[in-house]
Amino acid sequence: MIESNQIQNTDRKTAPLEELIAEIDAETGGGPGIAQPVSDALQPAYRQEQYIRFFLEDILLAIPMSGTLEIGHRPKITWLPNLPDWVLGISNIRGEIVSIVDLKAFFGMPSHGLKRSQRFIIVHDHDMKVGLVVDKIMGIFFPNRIDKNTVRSSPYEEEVGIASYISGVVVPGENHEEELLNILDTEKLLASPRMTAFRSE
Amino acid sequence: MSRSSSDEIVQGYIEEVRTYVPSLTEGIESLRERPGQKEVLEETHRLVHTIKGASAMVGIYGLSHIACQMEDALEDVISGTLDFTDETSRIMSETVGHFRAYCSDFLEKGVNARDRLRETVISYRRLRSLPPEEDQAALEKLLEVVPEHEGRVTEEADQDPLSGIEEPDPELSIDTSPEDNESLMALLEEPDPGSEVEFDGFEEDFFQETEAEGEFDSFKEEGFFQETETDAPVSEPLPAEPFLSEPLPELLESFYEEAEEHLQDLGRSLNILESQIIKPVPISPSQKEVIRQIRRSVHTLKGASAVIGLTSISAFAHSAEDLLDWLYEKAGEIDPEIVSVLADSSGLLERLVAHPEDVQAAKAHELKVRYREIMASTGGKPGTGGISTQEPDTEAGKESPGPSCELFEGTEYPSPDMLLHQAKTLRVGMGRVDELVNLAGELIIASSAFDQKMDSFMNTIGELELSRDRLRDIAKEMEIGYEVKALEGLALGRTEGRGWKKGGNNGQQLSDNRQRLRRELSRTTTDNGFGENSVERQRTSFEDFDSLELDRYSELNLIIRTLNESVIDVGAINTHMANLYSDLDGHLNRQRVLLSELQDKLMRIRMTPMQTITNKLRRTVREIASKLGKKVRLVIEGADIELDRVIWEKITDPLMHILRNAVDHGAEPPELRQALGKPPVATIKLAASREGNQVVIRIADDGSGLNYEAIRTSARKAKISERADEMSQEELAGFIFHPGFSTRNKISEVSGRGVGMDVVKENIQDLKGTVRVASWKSKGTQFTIRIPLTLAVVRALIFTASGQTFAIALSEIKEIIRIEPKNISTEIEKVVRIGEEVLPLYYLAELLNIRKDDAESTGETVPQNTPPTTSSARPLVLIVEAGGKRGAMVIGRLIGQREIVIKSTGSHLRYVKGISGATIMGDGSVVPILNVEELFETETIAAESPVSMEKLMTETPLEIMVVDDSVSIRQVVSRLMEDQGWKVKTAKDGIDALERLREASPNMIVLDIEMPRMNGYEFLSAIRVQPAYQHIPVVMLTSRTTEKHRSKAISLGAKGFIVKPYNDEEFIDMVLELTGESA
Repeated sequence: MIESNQIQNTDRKTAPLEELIAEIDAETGGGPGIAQPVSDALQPAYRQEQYIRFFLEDILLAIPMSGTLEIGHRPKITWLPNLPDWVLGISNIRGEIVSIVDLKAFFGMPSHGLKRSQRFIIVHDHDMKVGLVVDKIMGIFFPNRIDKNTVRSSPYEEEVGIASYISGVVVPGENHEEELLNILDTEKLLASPRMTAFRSE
Repeated sequence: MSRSSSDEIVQGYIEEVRTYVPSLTEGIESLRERPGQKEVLEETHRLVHTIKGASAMVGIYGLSHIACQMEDALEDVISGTLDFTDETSRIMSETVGHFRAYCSDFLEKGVNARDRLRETVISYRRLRSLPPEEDQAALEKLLEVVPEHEGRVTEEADQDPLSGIEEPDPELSIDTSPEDNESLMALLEEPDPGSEVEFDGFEEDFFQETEAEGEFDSFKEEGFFQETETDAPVSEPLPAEPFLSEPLPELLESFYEEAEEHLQDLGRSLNILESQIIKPVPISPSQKEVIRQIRRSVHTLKGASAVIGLTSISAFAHSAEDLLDWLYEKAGEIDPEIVSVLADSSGLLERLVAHPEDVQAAKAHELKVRYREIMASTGGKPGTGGISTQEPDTEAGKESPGPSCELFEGTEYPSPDMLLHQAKTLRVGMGRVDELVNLAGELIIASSAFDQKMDSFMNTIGELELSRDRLRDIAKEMEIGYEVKALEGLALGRTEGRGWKKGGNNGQQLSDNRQRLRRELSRTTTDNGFGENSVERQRTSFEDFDSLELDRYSELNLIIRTLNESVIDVGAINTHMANLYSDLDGHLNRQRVLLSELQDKLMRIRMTPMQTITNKLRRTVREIASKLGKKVRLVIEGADIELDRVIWEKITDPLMHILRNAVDHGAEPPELRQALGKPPVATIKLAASREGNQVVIRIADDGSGLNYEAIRTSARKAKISERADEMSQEELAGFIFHPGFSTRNKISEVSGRGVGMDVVKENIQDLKGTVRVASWKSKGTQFTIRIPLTLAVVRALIFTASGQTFAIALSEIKEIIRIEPKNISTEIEKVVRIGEEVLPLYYLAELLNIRKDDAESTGETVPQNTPPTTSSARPLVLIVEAGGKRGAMVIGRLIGQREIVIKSTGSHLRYVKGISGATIMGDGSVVPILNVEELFETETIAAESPVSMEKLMTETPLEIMVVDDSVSIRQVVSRLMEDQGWKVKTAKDGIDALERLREASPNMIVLDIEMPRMNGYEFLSAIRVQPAYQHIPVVMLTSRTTEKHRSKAISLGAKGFIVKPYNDEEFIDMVLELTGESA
């Protein structure tokens, strides 16, 4: 019921995710066109999957679009007691209450307070939804644009902080003056014990 | 009665057949086109088989046998011995035609059954190439049991619908001919599971029919429930095949529903007996009535299960009925032993209903033996109970719950019109009801959003009125000014430069008297209101007119008149809108009332009485007690207390667990009890009651009570707490809810594993409920469970603490008062004296760990004795009671009470300590609902690293005040600001703005220059002298572009200057810059 309601709301109030992203692309000027030719020479795991790129401080991250529900301006957050500092509180996202996580604080990165320019991305897995606060959204990223060799498994050896949630890295091609793109494993993130610590008392 | 009810059955059945006909026709048609379709074939077969079985059941034998013929043929087709040819399809269509004929004619004119049957039998025998010589023999056999005519006109069929069944030997239907029989036998031997099952069912069908004849008979003749006795003895345990494959699922389903009802009645009646009979007593009339109720339930169950084909139930029910008959008619005394046998029987029946395939033959046999023993041992005694005048209650001892007996007697027993009753019941899935309930919840949220819009509508109307007034004033001023000008022109001839402005001030009086006005004017000299040219023009045009008439003809005058008319129009529209508003408000109010009623009713749909689970609980107690060799009786009170069905489901396990513990840990063995001077039978009382917005379930036993020393030892051993030795009993009792806690050294089958009570607590907490335990040495233990009545909606108090909004369920708040600081004592711990009572004092901000950021408060730490929320001299406190604790809680400001829809705190944060949920207000903001009990339990040690409130405070939206006399400018600017997520306040002029500043100080002010009452410059200078407002940056928003205006504003302290029309981006940037928000 809530589901369908939400869909209706979505229809009424906001543009679909794609449109929103396209808009952001236009704003930031960084996004690729939607109608990119699809090449086959890709690693299967990364094929056809689209990613949303965003900055956390100066780290460029990407999360698979399939795991996201919506992105937008950071909503009003209601604080709750007895929670760790990386859970900012809860927000009303179209009639549904979703918790908001400060991703920087979660990764133990220094957080310089909240800024109005920040956006949020709602990620979900089969049983929960979490809103992640990120610094800047950079648009969509299609791995099929680039050579398959550029997608590599995580180079990070130590499994602490953010590194333990990076499933792969996209190394920019020669003609790209881009930064290293870290692919964030949202499933792992959501399944991590810290995230799931609120199941019961 | 019997006639009409059996007619009803037949009628219903005919209707049923009617619904099969189209499917059959379709099936045959489809098979004719593509013969091989196994599914269609099977479905057709199933339908035909149903018609066959059910027809025989309701006594339409012709139809049954016709169907039988078709079924045989279909079986052949399925097994492959017969091809589905066009001929087959034709004959089958014909058969379906017979079905149809039965449908249309049976009730009205009747059907010539024999003819039809004859025709059908011959056709099918030809089809299956059976020898024509044997036709006659086969037919004769069949025709014996089929009347010439079936249906309304044939009196005999009606009179004795069962006459046919006298004869039918099970073989008859399948033994139409030796060959046929052989083929069937062959079928049986063939390892084809599909057909075998069919065959089994087939045989079972007839077997059951004859076997259950007695029941069936009485069942029908009595119109289900009449109290004539059935003497037909049912032979010893019936074969084990339950009849599951045959009855239609719908039938089974309604049987289960019905059975559940009867089992509940049984349980209720047994409860009465159990609570009253603790030693052998003569049967009192009221007890006799109870026995009669039990017998009736069992009897009905028997009849219903026989019809449905669940023979294992009917067989057992029958023998139980024998005992009950004996008890009701012959026995004079009843003792606990008999009651326990009855209880066991009821338990067995319940199990049989739940799992008919599990026959429980051994158990049934054992019980039957016990029945015989009982009947033999006391059977001879003459009945005295029937005439006994003794009050049963005095006999039953002091524990006897008289009220529950009354309650029972007052309860309407679902009686003979149960069929009728069922027809009026609609079965709807829980999911659908939940959907409705959720929708109603959403509606409430939506309607409160409406309320807020209504408020702003009202404000707009108010503004419109003000604008209208101003418009009117201007129009009047203009009119007067014009008149003055015109008259002046006349009076003074060609005198130059007479103005109206000053005259305008006195216009009111002047217009009254033109003569006086003229005199006045001759003395007045001010500058000209209208352009030189217009005066010039007017002057020339005035010359030809009379002074009194000329105003009619001036163009300007016409404009003024139009303006005046517009003012009137605007006024009318305003009035109309105000009326509309009050109408709308009325409608909305009505809607609100209806909405809450709707929600209430919806919640009620989901409510079921505790009865639905009491049988399970009773059985649990019985089983455990017999396993442990203890004698325990369970007395249940308040079985009619209603709760959401889901809650009952979730609470059954915890209740069973507590009951198990009560039997195992609480109740002592009979010998020990006797030694202690207690009655040998331990009593566990489960009482449900409603207290306010909660349902309270108390489970008390009269056993040994908690062994505090054992708990202390275990606690010490398990190192749960350092200070186990110095803990009070109350604290120790809390340990039983600790995960992994157990005082048992041995792990028994029943308990002692140390899992359980923590799960119990968790389950109850999931329901937003609480559980407490209290215990008295060797007197017993009592668990008190409190469950909120509904999960979804609650009336709550909304208030703030440290600037954030919270809600608490109104049912938890006892009082809202302001306390005198002198009544607060902080010597040992914080307490407050209120009247005679001394209550612990909590500061909500402290409980929630809301701490002012130290850096923010200029390096000073908050003094310990000045709690953060008590800036006011007389702090506002809520007297709260939750989980048996009472306390005073200091809060900030009250907002009001609302009906709120409780939502969870999201899929991620399923449990947050101190928070029982959240609600969404009409404006979309989220308000946490506090769990007071948990907050009180919270030790005031800061959590891991709580988010400082300040961090979030900085992200409260910017507040901008827009001061402009133009409504549209206010709106346009407001919208721009609101799009940024900022809050906007508006003021009409400087005075208004100053007033609003007093309420709250915004982050920035957007200010117009020209405004009535107090203009922008005046306002600027006004706020610059007030320290409280000095720091607020002001941006001028004006259409004055000259440097003069700009520099004046800057000199007065304005921080920015924006010229209308402005560029959105620039404006926003300036706001961000001035508020220090630009990133």
